[in-house]
Parts: sequence; structure tokens; C-alpha cells
Amino acid sequence: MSSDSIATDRTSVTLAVLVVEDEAIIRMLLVEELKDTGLVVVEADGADGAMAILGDGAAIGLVVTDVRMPGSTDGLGLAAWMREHAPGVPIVITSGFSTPPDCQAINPAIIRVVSKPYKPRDVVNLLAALLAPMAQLSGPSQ
Amino acid sequence: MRVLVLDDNPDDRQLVLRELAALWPTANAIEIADLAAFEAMLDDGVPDLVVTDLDLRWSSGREALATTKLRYPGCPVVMFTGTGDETTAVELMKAGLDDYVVKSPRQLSRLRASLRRAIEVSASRTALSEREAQLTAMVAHKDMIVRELHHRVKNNLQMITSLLRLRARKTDPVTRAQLEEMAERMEALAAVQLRIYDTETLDRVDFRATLSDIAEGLMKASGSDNIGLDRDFDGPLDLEVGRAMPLGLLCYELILNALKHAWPKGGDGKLTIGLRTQDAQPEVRICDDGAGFKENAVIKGLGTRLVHSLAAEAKAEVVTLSKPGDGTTVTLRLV
Repeated sequence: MSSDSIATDRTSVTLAVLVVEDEAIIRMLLVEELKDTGLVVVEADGADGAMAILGDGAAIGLVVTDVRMPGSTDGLGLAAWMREHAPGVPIVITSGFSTPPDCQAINPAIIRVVSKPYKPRDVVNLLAALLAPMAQLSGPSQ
Repeated sequence: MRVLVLDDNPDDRQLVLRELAALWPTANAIEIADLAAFEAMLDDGVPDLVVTDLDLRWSSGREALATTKLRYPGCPVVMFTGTGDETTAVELMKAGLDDYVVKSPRQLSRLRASLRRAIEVSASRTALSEREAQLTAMVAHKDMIVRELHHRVKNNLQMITSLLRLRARKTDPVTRAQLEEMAERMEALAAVQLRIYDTETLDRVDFRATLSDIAEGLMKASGSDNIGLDRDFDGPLDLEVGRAMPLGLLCYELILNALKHAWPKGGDGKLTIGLRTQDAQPEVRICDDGAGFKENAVIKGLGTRLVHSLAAEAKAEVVTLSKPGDGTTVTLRLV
């Protein structure tokens, strides 16, 4: 049905990935690789920028964020903030830390922790896999 | 200096006060004759010394000791008493009492020595615990620096591979493959680096896990879906970092070589990574069931040169067995 197909199209447009990473080089590559797979990507160089984007009501389907970044708070602070201001938006944490923090306590929406250094291809595949069922879920319901 | 003197007998209190004044003329000795005064004085802060009788009408020396030690574990307590016996003395010393002096004319000289010693011991105890606190803080600081450093190493490795890959995106296919390969080499280094943090002392690496990481990473990157990976490990292999680094890179080169050359016509294949200890000598094995090569075949290129220098650095003896049509096995004996 035409209304259904419109809804599906809208879904594929609105599910943007927000990449939060302060290292420009690392962010550039991840953003480009994600765009290559056809995803809509929004980027921020820190938690403050990410909170501004999310606070503006941008339709973000998934956030992938580094932990340690300069600014008023870090990636974990962003995740904690999202618990109230963007509840349910899944978060993937990338981190160079050896011992990961208790993510579930910070925000149950943290669905994965990827340790640095990671292969961008692995993260791209992971995000694509995570987004696929979501696209279906938010598509036309029976 | 603040000294609390607990005794029901004013004469005995005076006796203690006199000894204190002789030892420390400026000392502030406070006579305590009831519980409220004792607690008020404890509330004022940690005393430098508590001198108490065993029997107090309003409490007991035992109680006073317990209360003092509970609030100020470092505060010395000396008992000066006419009652009690050896058993009591031993019991109280176990509870933290610094000394036990019997009220008798013959023991008076002992009182002064005992008070002096209690203060001296307490001072060195304080100095010791301050030093301990300093050392603990220093260790915590060093620990923080080490973790910070590791964090940066990982982040920088991510930057290096990202730079290589960004450049690779903007170039011709041949250069792209070379740059991708360099990025992969960096990732092999990173695989070893990551395993360092699994250990408490940060100077050894679980090489069994590292070898698996490297092989899996390479197979995924090369997209060799038709090649199976077998692990043949007869035990763990712990290596010092200085050795694990070149050995990790060496294994990377060997696995890469196998994936590139062992199956030139495609088709299914099997790559085996092995670890075993032969005559107390650990061996790492990279084995393929591919095309193999003739005995005198010389493999050229950066890979081979790297293999030799890395083997020397890792103190590994490289033994290659290959027959055309019957695969290749490279054994690295760690001498």
C-alpha cells in the first residue's frame, strides 16, 4: 500500500547515526565509511555538540560515541544525559579504556562497548546490523 | 601537647601531672574526673596521650582505652594503676594499650620513661602512617599515568590506522591495497597491545589469545570466507611484551602470506594456528593445506625480509616445511 511505502521511506531517512568523536581523523573515517553504506550520518566533536543536536530534536536512530572527549562532559556523561533527554536511543560506546565502566547503570540503552583501536569496517557492520531490525520495527506495523 | 589524665585520686593525678611537667614543661595536662568531661575532651580532637587508672568510679580504664582507640586508633594510652595483674596487663596491651605501670614508689621512675616512650612511639607511628599514605598516593598516581599512557597508545594506533585508511580511500587500487595492508599491520600491533592490559603487571601478554585475535582479524579483513581457521593449542603461552610484539607481527606476516599465496586458485582451505611446548621449548605453528612450494623456491618481497628480522628480534627459529600440493607449515621455535 502506498501509505506503508511512504512510512518506510520516511523511516530510512530519519534513522540517522550520530557519530561523537573528538579526534577528527578517527571521526572522518568512521563517518565516510558509514556514509558509504548509505546511512545518514550526523557528527559532533564532543558531548556538548551531541547534546545540542539531540536537544534540537534531530531524528537520531543511534549514537556512537567515544568516552574521553573535552567539553563540559564526556561520552559517559552524554549517555547519562540521554537517559533523560533521548530515552531509548541506542548507544554504542567506543573506548580506549582497559576496564569498561558499568554501562547499564549509566544508561540501559548502551547496547555495545567497542574497544579502541577498532576496525572501522567492524563498527560499520555492527551499526548496520543494529539498525536493520530497528528500521523494520519502526516501519509499518500490522 | 594535650594529655588527658583519668584518675579518681587527686594525689595520683598530681603525681602524673608532675611527671608530665618534668618531661614536657609546656604540655597541657587536663585532669578528668567524670565521663562527661572525658567525652568532651575527646570531642575536642585527638589527644597526644591518655593516662588512665584501671578502676574509675564513673567508668573503667578498660572502657577509656576502648573509647579512645575506637575514636583515635593512633592515640597512645598508658595505664597507671594500683590494681590489676599481669593477666589484665596482657589483655589490655592486646587491646592496644601502650604501657602498664604499677602505682608503687619503686615504679615511679618507670612512669616517666613509659610516658616518654608512649609519645615517641606514637610520633613514629604517625610519621610511618603519613609515609604510607604518601606512598599509596604515589602508587595511585603512577597507576593513573600508566593507564593514561595505555589509553593514548590505543587512541594513537586508532589515529594511525584511520589516517592510512583515509588516504587509501583516495588513491588507485594498487596503492589502496598497500595502504590497507599497512593499516592491518598496525592492527596486528594493536592486537598485541590490547592483550597487555589483560595482565596485572602490564609486562606480559597472553600470546594464545593474541594469536587468535591476529588470525581472526586477518581472515576477516581478507574476506577469505572459504578458508577455515583451526586452533591447535596444547596450553597457554605467556610472553614478555618485548618478545610478544615482534612475534605477533611475525605471525601476522606468515598468516598474511598464507592467505595471499597458499590458495592461488581459490577453493576451500584450512589454516591452522598452533601452540605447543616441545622439550620445554614453546613452538608457534602456522600451517596451511594449500599449494605449497618447491624446496628451493625463494619468496621475495617485504614480507620475507620482515619475517627474518622479526624472527631475530623475537628470538625465534623459523623452520619451514613445504611440498608442492601438500601445504606449508612454518614453525617458530622460541629459543
